Amino acid sequence: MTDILIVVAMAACTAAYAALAAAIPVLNIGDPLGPRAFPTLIAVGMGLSALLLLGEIWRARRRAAPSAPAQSQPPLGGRGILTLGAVVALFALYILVVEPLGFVLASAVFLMVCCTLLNRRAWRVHALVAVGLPLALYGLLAKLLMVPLPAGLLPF
Amino acid sequence: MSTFDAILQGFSVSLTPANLWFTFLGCLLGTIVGVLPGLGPAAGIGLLLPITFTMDPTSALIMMAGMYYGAMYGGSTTSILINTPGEAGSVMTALDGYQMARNGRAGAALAVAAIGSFIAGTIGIVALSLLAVPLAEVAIDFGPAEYFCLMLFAMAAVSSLTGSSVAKGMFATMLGLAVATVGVDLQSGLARFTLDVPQLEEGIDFLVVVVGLFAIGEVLSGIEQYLRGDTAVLRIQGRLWLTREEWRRSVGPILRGSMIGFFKGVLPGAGATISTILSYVLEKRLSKHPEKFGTGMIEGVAGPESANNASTCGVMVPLLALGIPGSATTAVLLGAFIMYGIQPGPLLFDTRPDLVWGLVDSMYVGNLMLLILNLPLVGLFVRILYIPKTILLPMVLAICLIGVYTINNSTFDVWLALGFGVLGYAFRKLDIPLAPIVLAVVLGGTMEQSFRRALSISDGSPAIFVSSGIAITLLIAALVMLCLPLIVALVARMRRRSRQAGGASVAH
Repeated sequence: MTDILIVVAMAACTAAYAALAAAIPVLNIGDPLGPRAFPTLIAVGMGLSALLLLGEIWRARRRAAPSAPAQSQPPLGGRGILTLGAVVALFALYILVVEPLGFVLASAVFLMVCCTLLNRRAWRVHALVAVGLPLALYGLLAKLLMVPLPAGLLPF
Repeated sequence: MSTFDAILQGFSVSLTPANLWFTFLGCLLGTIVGVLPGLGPAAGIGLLLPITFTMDPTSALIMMAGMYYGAMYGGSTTSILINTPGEAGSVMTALDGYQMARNGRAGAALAVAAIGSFIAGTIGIVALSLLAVPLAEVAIDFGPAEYFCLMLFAMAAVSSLTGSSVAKGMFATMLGLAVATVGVDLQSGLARFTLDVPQLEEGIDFLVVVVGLFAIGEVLSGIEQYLRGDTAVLRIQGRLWLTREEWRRSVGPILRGSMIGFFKGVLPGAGATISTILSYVLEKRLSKHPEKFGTGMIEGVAGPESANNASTCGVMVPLLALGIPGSATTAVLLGAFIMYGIQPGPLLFDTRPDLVWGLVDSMYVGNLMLLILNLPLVGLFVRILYIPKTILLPMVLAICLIGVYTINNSTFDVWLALGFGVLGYAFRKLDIPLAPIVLAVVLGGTMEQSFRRALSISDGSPAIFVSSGIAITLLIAALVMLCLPLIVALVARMRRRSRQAGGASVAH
């Protein structure tokens, strides 16, 4: 079942890419081939790979007909998926605030919340990491190696 | 200047105090990256690259190469002590290495991994020095058509060998090529696939893809694993050295593993990982006690670990001599070369012998440093494993943000990287290999250019791709690579048939 869904996703991806490729105007400047030919080939290759996967599924079905594929790991529970989603959301929030707040503050908040989300008990250690690591990284990169990082609200 | 002179000259580059320091730094960071969960050599180099923009290219490349082979040493440590390979090349090491650790021989397992890696690394560098120049000489007459065919072959090999399914590998390659076509087309000046987003006009930086797929995606997988329950870290027990008996048993596997690893590394494909599997299978077959493999046989650690390290030298051969990477990490290294305005390939040996041989010679020095770092100091690196994952993984995410942000000083790239991270996590679950994507993203631009240049030369006739023996050979080799799983299946079926037929005739 999952494999069929992958094929569907691959086909959708191919269609989207092919549609965008077809929209590239072909002008008679530059080389004879123009900017559309190579993307068209890629779209064809993508479509072929989706067909090939369909073929592979069909062959596998025929060989070992009804037995379900052995799942190596049980699916992650609802709570687990929620935690993973929360980490992704937190990272997105981190990207949003890193310029206005500055690297040090944004990272401190992100590290504190993210670590505590994964493990509620050790918040004292987390506070230490959340303050220490951003300061150390900022000192090393922005001050010593002159890599530009957003300073934000802090005066240094 | 003969090659031998050039090699000696290289030492005058690699032994300067500054370059010795960068070799050390690269090896140290590589070992750390190898030990850290959620970071591998590809992501590590990708994260380091933006902060080395202002450095001397030779020193920067020496440091990044050090990170690459250093990670191979570090990866074995986690395989042995927590049964979690730090990177793909150490998967086979975990089989017997972890069992040795459980039997109280962690010290011997770590020692044989480090010594084997050192010997293999040294053999590999000698072979690299000997093989790179002849290969570069073959490639010196390559035109755009031959280069296109060569890239096609490399991609076919990587798509076919890295995953369980050719279709998925091929899709990953096409996806990578598609990502590479985003941005303004160099020849016509038209914006392609930018969806009117101005930030996309310069294209998607390969570093964004690498950090997304290999660092952010890996952290998400790491969090999932943590949520499922963690494996305990085994303490290092026993002296960090081998008994005479263990030493005697390891010499053969180390030498055989070095050979397999190097030659497997030269051929594009899964390089390190496949060579470790081959070495493990070979040692098991040669052993008088194959049934004991998986219970802590030192041969099962010595062989694959050596193969793993020798392959890092092998993959440098096509990278330096042809400019063609055979794996995800070497694709990132190629991206680094290009970023410094250096095109690896046959001409590099003439134009920048100082860089090529300085880099190669730094690998001798680096391997020696790694032996020291990984034997007496292994206890120090193991401490990284005692840091809870709940702190390590968010830390890696914060480092990813800096790494990607500093490429263009924009949060747009970080958003893209997060997207690739989620994609990488999903692909890992769906068994779609990631290495072909990175390879295609890095090579895609050059590949399209050589495709179009070849057709400009021939006035649009595709016959140019079959106009030379080299091009035809490479095309056939690419086809064979794609059909390889099919051929293997067919041969197996025919054998089964003939055996059944044979059985039937006996029954009559």
